[in-house]
Amino acid sequence: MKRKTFWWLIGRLVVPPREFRRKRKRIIGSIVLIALVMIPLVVSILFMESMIQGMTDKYVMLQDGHIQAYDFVLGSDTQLGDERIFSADHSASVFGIAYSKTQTSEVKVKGVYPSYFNEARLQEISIDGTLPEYSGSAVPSVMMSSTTAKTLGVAIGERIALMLVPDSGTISARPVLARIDALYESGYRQIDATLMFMHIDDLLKFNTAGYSKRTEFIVQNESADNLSSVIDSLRQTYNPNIRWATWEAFNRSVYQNFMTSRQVILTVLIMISLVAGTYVSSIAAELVQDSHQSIALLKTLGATSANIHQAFFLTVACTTTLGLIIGMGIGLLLGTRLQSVLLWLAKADIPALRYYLLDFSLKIPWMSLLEVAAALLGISAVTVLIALRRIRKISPLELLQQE
Amino acid sequence: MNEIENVISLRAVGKTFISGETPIHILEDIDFDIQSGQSIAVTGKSGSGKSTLLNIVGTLDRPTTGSVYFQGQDTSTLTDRELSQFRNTNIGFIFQSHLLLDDFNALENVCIPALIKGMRAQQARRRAVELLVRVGLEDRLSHSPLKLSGGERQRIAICRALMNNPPIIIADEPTGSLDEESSQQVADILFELVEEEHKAMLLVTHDRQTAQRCASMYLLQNRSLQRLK
Ligand SMILES: Nc1ncnc2c1ncn2[C@@H]1O[C@H](COP(=O)(O)OP(=O)(O)OP(=O)(O)O)[C@@H](O)[C@H]1O
Ligand SMILES: [Mg+2]
Repeated sequence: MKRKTFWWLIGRLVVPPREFRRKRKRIIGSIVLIALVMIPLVVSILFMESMIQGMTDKYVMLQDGHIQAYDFVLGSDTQLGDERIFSADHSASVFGIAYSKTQTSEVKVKGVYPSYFNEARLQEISIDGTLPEYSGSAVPSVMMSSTTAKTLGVAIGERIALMLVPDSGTISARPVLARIDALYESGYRQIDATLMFMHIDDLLKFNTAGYSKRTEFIVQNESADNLSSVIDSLRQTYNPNIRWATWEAFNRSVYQNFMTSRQVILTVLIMISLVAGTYVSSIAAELVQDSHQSIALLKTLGATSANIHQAFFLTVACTTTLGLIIGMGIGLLLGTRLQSVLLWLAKADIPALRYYLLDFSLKIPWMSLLEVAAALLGISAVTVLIALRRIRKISPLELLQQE
Repeated sequence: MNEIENVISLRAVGKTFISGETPIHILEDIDFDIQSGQSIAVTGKSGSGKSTLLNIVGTLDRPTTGSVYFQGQDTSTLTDRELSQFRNTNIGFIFQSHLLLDDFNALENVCIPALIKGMRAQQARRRAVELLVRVGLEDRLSHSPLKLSGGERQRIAICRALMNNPPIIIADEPTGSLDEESSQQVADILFELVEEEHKAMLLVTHDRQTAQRCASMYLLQNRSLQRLK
């Protein structure tokens, strides 16, 4: 059969003439159904991946950097030889408790230089007030999250007391007075709840021996998935004996949580698309059942089983792909529209949603979308091929015996 | 005897159906030739095996014993796939219930054998229109078969059978489900076209009058063919 005829036949089977309401309805119905399955899948993948990416970014940017080097301080004039590294900053951190006149809150005080808040980090937080500068002998200045400020019932310009717990057990904790010079908001409660910033020299001043210094490296986006090779080259450039860690090693449980939930959700979504895929084969079986006579007649007129098989397969493939594309399109559109709803929710500060990151930038996760689409197409291809085997068994004689 | 003259030759053809344990012999040791341009009518009682014989001649079914030769070539050596192609070019079928594809309009139905064969759509259309005009359906080209009368549908089936210009037409009671008037009309058109196009025809019919219009007449009885005319 010539290709043109082929498409003509297929076209007619996909979109039968107006007289065939039932057939048309079934084809349109199956396109709609696949689209309806795809829409929530796409939206959930979009949100899940973007949210996890957003959370990862918060952890990386504000808490640990991509890579940390312990007990290692770069000179201020050290040139970063590696183009993959975006920035390197010193930091030190210590756990403690913050006291206001009426309330207390657990905190993690992080000592950084003002330059720590570079453009990449400023994208992750919004700051109100002035960044903590070195105070010398005066009361040190801190920047806390507006969440912590609310918990403590304090505002910019007011003072709090900090009880810092040193790493080393031999040094006893002592209370420190601090002034709130700035409030920040990262949009992610998990971080906002405890993280507080102070000038690193102020922090170290309190107990030099107790707080270990480290360097936080942020790498360029392209290298974020290949941190070990960056570490290897850092090892060679600097000191092979320095202890290095990546953010996911440092936040093993957080990272694993992300990965597990991502995998669980993706698996569930793939399962759903597999079910939808098997549904496609039932459409194929129905199409064959309905066209039993036509198939027998086409065989009588000289079409081979392979011809008819191919035509039906392509018909179902077109239907499925169309549903898939429509579903994905609507899903992506809806996903991007829904984000404004999320931003509104983030502002509304609903208690149940507090520990979710709602203010994240949407990134379309093509890989995961592709996986789900491939699962759907793959399983439907296989099940449809099985369903279409019946075509071979239809003999032209069946046509005549019905007389 | 010149074998090439024969479009189709049956040699010692027998057909046995096995239903359950007992074999049912429908045809036995049939020798039979159809020459090019010759029209042959086969009559016989219901259940005598006329359709079975036609299916074997049309290669839709294979004989249990014996062989069917088409222009001297043994069709039993062909695979199912080759048989499909063979049927497409060499045999035009017309059935009792005008088996048309309801999803396609009249013109498209006539085009199908040509398109399966690989003819260009434009060319196929031209030939199909020409045939449909000859059977008087020029103003029904884009009608769905569902909206046509039995006689009109059967005329479309005739056009379809002639589409690929096969040397032989096989017709199983083509007027069997029509009323007397349209039956007459369809028979007229069939004989006219078959004659004009110099086709051989194997026609099964209950109607003696129609059978009489063929050059030869056979009666299928007791599993074998008996020449009447
Ligand atoms: N596939 C089959 N299996 C078993 N028996 C069959 C099969 N096909 C046909 N028969 C039997 O063979 C006999 C001949 O059938 P056939 O259809 O050839 O008769 P016919 O002469 O065309 O009858 P009619 O005039 O009613 O169309 C019938 O008894 C029928 O039941
Ligand atoms: Mg019959």
